[in-house]
Amino acid sequence: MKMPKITCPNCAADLEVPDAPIHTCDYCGTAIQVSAMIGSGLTPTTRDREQLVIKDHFIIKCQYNQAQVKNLLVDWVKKIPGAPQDFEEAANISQNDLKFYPMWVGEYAATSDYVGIDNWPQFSRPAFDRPGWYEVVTYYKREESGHIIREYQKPLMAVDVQNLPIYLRDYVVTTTGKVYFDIQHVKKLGGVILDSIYKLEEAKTNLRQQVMGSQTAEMHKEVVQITRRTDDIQEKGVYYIHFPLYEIKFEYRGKLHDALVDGSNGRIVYVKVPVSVEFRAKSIAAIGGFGGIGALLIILGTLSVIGIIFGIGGGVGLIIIALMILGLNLRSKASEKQK
Amino acid sequence: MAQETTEITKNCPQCGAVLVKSPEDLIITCAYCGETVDVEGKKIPNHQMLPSQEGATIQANIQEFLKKNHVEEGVVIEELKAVYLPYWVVPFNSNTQYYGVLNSAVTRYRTIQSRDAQGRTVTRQVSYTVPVFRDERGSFNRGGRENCIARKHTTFYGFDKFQDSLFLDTIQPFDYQQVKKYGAEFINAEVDANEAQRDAYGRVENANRRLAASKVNKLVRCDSRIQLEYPTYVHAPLWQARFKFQEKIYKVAATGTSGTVLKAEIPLTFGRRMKNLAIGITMLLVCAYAAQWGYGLRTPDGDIETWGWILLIIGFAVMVLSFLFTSTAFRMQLEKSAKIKKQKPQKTAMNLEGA
Repeated sequence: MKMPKITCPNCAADLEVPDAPIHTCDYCGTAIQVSAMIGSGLTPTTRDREQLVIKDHFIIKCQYNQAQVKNLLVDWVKKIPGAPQDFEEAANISQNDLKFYPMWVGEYAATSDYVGIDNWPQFSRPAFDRPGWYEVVTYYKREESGHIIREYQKPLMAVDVQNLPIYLRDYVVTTTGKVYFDIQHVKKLGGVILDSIYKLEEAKTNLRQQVMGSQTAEMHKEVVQITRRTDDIQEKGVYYIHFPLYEIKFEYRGKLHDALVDGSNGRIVYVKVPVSVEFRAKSIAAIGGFGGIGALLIILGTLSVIGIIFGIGGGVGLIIIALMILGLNLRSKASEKQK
Repeated sequence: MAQETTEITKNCPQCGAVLVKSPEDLIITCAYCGETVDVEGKKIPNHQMLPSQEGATIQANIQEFLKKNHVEEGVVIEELKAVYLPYWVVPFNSNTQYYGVLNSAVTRYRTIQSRDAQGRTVTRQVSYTVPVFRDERGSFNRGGRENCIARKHTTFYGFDKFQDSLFLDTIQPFDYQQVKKYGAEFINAEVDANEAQRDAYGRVENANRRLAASKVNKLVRCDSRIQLEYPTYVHAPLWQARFKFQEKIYKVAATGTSGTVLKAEIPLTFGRRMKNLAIGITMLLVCAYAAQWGYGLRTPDGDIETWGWILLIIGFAVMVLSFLFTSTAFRMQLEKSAKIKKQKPQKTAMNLEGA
């Protein structure tokens, strides 16, 4: 597919842009609203500039270089039970790419008034032996109203779900320390900038929906059904932020593994962990040992050679231990806790 | 456009020094004179801080904490840094009215008549329970303070513990020299007083709802009236460390105010894993045997004796508990947190008077 050509509204560089509504200029780092440029007839004059660029474009700086990230990963992986201790020497890192992922963050002050239906209790059949209490409670529908004031900051990952590593979906990106987008920082570290799949307006719509959803959840704490509502959602700011993530691929004893490391704080977002050969051999022996003795105890218990409770209780317990060891062997993914 | 606007500068209204500001900062503290102003240059009243313990003390406390958790030889602290985090401490008072349903049960007896083997009529009382309900209307007052971090989208190791550990007993007027003394990173606020109050409002309301819900079996209605005072801007010191033990890396977070370790990853050595596994298996088998023994204690009628039942129940319970040890053997690491006493609302409210 031929890529469309545009001129950067800020530095006038000629750019070939990929299929994305927003593209960061490779030369000056300006976030250009490509979708507003192509076919709109807007030209990068001063008058149109406002509509063509994202002003609030930030970057979270990457604090670790490739070598440091590798060390962090190596030292962290070794802690996982069953992970190879020779990881540092034996693992062959084939790819260690720094990518700056795009996200939107919106800040909102929301005030909502609502009217809804709630279940209200009705009591009948007084308990003769406990004054003030009733044997039957039923619920009838009753109208209730309320008022909710909340402050929100909502994030929106601006990457296609298919391309978004699964571990990143619930990952909280700490935006503390963001600075205005600086292309030199990206270039110095040899990073790649990913583009948002959302236009500014789409991002705003999505964030606003998230706020509405949160307000609805607050209302549902009081009523089961909302019949009328008025929402005043004030947008205080919507920011386009790029944050650093190392995508690492490595080979360990012929098998490919991958990892994601947050470049701003060195946190291991996710790693597909190899299991060492030595551990595998030892643990299979242990599984056999515990499982075998467990099964034997169960058989002897059922046959009343030994007590039935001792046999089955102890036997099942040992088999559970065998399954736990099996679980360590099957574990392939690990991630570092955030809090 | 990017390069020329990485940092916006402004001059300190107090000493004239250049204030360096990140784009998200709403409140800036001068690194020279410690004056704190908002983006328009208006002074933020009553900027306070919590002084920190020395780095050496923190390091000693971490070593001590690890020692208590049986990690002694060969710990190398590789990274130790302090950061002064901005908080808004919002004093509040609230009154909550709630309405809900209480559940209980009454025990009743009915008389059952039957005939025995000799054909005589026998009467006996049989108990049964009937659930009963009533509504409960109540109200409570709750006051205190909410510690709201003045940053957005922030999370760090030990975050919740740090938030709970912010007692204001040692609060003092802000002094930038203290920050410099520890080489601490200083973080400005990106949340203003109004936003902090709104944030606190939501949290107080939700906490009141949880409290109300705990007083009834089903909460039907809960209304809070919340009064918020103007918050105090406080900088609090957090220490973060990474240490190496047997070539592996672990994290620790400590509060600078008291120097207490808030949360730490504790290494599990091979020996420690095996010890846990051995304890787990011993508990499992000994208790299975005890349960078996209890099962064998019979009355002449063939029923299990009371002591037998007790042994059976205890035996099974401890068998389940044994997996606490067994599972520890297979965990990646342990995580230990300091116990933090709940704040005393009355006392802290007094501390903030005049704020």
